[in-house]
Amino acid sequence: MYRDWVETALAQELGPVPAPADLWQRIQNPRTVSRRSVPSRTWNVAALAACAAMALVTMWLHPWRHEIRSSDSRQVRAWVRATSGVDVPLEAQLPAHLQLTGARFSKEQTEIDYRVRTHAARLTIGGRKTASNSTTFSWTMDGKVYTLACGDPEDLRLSCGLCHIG
Amino acid sequence: MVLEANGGQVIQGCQTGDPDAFRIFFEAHKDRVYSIALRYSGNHAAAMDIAQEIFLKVFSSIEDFRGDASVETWLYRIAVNACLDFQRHTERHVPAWGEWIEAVTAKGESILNRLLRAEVEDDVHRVVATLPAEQRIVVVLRYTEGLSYDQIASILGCSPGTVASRLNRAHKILERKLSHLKGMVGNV
Repeated sequence: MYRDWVETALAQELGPVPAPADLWQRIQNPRTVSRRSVPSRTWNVAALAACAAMALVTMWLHPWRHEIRSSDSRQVRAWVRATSGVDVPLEAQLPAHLQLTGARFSKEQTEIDYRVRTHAARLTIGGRKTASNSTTFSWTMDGKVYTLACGDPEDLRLSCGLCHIG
Repeated sequence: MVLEANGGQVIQGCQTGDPDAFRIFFEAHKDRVYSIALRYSGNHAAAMDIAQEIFLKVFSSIEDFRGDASVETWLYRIAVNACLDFQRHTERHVPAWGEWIEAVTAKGESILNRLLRAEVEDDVHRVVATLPAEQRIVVVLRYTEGLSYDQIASILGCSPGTVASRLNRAHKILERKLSHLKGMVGNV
């Protein structure tokens, strides 16, 4: 009867295990999960070295504590909420001319990066309120300063679509 | 006041973006999520990736949780989908030298028993990792989580008969591929 020993083996070896202590940190600072085939060991080593070098340069230039790269507005919203406690009501389905690229969080402020048509733009939550002009709009909501910064006045108008349909 | 992790207050807290509620929810379910991910993928690095995907999916979709199913069932469904979606090819797990060192230096057993136990453990994990995805996830839910056929069927959205059939096919594959362990299982 195969079930006796096969089931015993499965019950013995597939039992639950405790989660690693760093899992929560990993959730707060998620990595982009590759879904491509595993490359060769040589490429792994080369990629690792390149990533480490880029990470060091990036950390030197921008000492951010947490960062996520994602175009999924629900994922970005949840990540910002979990890391900073700020709920930015990003639309689940953004208009075609808007695309999120990621977000960062530090002690002082949160930045959500996106593209309007083909131009890079940024929504910053926190920091000082700046004077609004044709490419920058700053307002206060729930005690926090929100600032939209774009390279083009039309992009600023289109950016409303991040949180407001229509 | 102690909040129950699956209680309405914590779920509501998560739905309104309360970081403390997220943390309570995470602490309550982290072992379950990681265990499923590890037993399904067969290695720690992949398990961390899968667990990350599961919790990010939970946090980003908890607003949609309406309580039609239990929190556990909802979480299991997300975990199953994350496992099945995880398409990255995994390299065959070869026990690291450190694992063998750990095995032979563990106290309380003879060296032979430790090595045999390590061999059984490695072979079972290796063969389970080769099962087709739909059979592997049934095996994990059955033996890691101890779920009944009905519970697994509810999570996978299939009949209990389908669950039994997949498990039966998995058992036959495992019996064939692990036949060399037959006399060792339960004795080491």
